[in-house]
Amino acid sequence: MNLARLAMTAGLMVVFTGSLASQATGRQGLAVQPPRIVQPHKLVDQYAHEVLFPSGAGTWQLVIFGYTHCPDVCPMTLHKTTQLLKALGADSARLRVVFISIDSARDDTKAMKEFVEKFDARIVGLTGEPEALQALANEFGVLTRRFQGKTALAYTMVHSSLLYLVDIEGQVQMMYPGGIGIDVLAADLRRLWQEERTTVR
Amino acid sequence: MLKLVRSMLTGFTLLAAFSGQAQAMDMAGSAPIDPFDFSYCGGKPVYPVIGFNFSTWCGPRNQIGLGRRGRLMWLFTTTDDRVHASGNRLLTEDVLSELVLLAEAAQLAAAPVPAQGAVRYDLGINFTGRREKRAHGVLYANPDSVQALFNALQRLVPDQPLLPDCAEAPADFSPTRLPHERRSALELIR
Repeated sequence: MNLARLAMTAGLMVVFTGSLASQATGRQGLAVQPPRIVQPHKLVDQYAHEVLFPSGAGTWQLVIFGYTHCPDVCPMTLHKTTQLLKALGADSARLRVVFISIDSARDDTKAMKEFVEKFDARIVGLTGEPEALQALANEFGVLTRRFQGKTALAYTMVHSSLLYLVDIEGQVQMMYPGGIGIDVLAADLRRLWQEERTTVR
Repeated sequence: MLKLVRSMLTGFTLLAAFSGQAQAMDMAGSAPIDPFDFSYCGGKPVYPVIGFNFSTWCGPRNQIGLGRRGRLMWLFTTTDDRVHASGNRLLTEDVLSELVLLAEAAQLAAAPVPAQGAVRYDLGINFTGRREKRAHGVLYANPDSVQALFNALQRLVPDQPLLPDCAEAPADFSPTRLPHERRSALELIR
């Protein structure tokens, strides 16, 4: 058996197990390897403060793309993150949940504030100029598509429902399907933070 | 079969030619909306087009691809560009949903870490309405997201590609080209 074929056979044995769990790390999410560094984008939070996302957070960030008129997936996902923050307890201070709008036309800072406060005041809602939001969505590879209704403002947006875990250095480390369980997410975060502590020591 | 192989090659060519920037697009109000699936088109689920070309320096080119409607296709050739093995199969929703996630990760991942290795790949991933991902690197060198996607696709293919050992190989080459084209390209550089 030649080397290339041997490598191929070995490769086949390693990865696709039918589940997202990483065999090597025990994590349940899907690792983004090599991690993607997200360039800083100038956005505005729900308090109308200019922020440079993702830099400067000083914590890990769980990033969700959506919009405040979203009837189903966004509220459900944000509700899930609220439960996640509760499940993390004191460790929740190490995680910032960031909800990024893909609908700058309707999502001003007031709308963002009202929306995220329905779930948890710790959630950061970010909006901004359409170009900045689209550039950021492009960088994450997020699909944003508008379905026009009968009037100018009666439209819905279709968007990717993945959750992205960004580390303290602004790198996307993991991604999760929208349907991921809260326990799974919490366990993954604790595992990652444990690894981080071990590495630092 | 010939028709399928031709359409597969066309798909790869289209994939290579596509270099659009993702933008929010307007769709007709009557179009089906399933917010849990972000890749709907014409009422039937669609999947990212994925194309892997891979080979060793002296070996024939091999292709594994996923079509928009969830059909896995493969075409492995011989060094004189005849068909060594080819086929296709429609994948199940479960398998496709795993592949889509792996493709999402591969799409988002940073550029592959430069590495030494015998098998090189060219990869294209095209999700509907999004910026296309292209990558070029070495297979089996890094346990990265591209490798995970390749392994998942390869596992679903019953045939084995020809990946002969080569006495001498340059540091880099295009696996998409035919062996004699690779040699000509190298001679031109020299």
